[in-house]
Amino acid sequence: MDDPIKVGIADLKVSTAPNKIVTNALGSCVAIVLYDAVHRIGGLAHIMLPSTAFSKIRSNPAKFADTAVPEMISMMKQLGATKTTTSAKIIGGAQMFANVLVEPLGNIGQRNVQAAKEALAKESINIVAEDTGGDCGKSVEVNLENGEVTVRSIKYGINKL
Amino acid sequence: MIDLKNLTPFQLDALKEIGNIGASHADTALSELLRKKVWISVPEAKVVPLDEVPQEFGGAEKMVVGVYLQMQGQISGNILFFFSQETAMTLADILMNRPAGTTKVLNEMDQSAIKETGTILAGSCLTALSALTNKEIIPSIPYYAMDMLGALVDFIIINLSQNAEYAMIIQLEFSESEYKIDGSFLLLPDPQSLEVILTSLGVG
Repeated sequence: MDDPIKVGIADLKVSTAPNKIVTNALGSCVAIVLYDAVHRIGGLAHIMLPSTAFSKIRSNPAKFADTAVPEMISMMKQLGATKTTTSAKIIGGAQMFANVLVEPLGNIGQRNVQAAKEALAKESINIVAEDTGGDCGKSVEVNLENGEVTVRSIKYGINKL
Repeated sequence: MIDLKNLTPFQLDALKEIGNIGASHADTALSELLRKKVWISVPEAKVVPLDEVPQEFGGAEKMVVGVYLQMQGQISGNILFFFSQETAMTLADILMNRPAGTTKVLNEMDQSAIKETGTILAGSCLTALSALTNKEIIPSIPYYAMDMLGALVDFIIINLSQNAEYAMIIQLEFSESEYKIDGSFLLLPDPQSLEVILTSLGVG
């Protein structure tokens, strides 16, 4: 078995079964996982901000929820995936230090989760599971064999989505 | 907007000097608080790509206890003070006057004492920064969390990413040999404030 494919901050990767894709230590960032169960093709984006409106530096589509979703769909299509057989899972969007609001973003975790949902709705992709909000960091592993997502946190241990 | 990639060695030295003066204040304050001689390393001032910040300080999944404060006023930014769980337990023992090795779980009182340590350290550094730049800086209340380092810093990275691709970080490392305490103290000014700081220091 090859090493899992690593996704950094503001990064996205797509691949096929039997590979695994991982991303570590999500706080207020959100992991958007797409999986086409028929063609066994999937992707993971580790986004930082809701949309390009929030940053002066916009060149990287993986940084924003609104650009990461269409980018991932088009990359998955190139591998043979179809949108109608693809579903989504979202993880992260916590508020790590209770009550810290960073202006002008406010509760950035919550806003990232909301933006991820909107971006997926725009592409008519169903969200079949989520592990979002709260106040703890999460690491994520996607198994492209079956689309299973394993979420690890210090507070709750392992959660399978 | 200042281009962080192009800070000159001269400018970085000026920023390091803030760390130096902050360190000497922090050294005294921390040694008094803990009644131990605390050693503070020569500060570093470095420019790190935002997505590499967690790796720079030991890796995204490293489990740490962190105290976060916001800098507000004429200079704004972020302060993060973090250390291992073992150091947090030892700090709690010392601060709460318990024999070494007593603390196994950090209760609310311990967390308050640790937050207070963060406030004192931040205060020392901000006093230095304020005096050097002649700007008013107000620290927020301290916030406490225990989790993976990457998860604790990502909202700071997110905040900086609105205007920059890099973070300028002033870093102090502190340690105490008898109880084997060690930790890191990071000061991350907002890009706009970095310009204010450099101009006030006469190296803008």
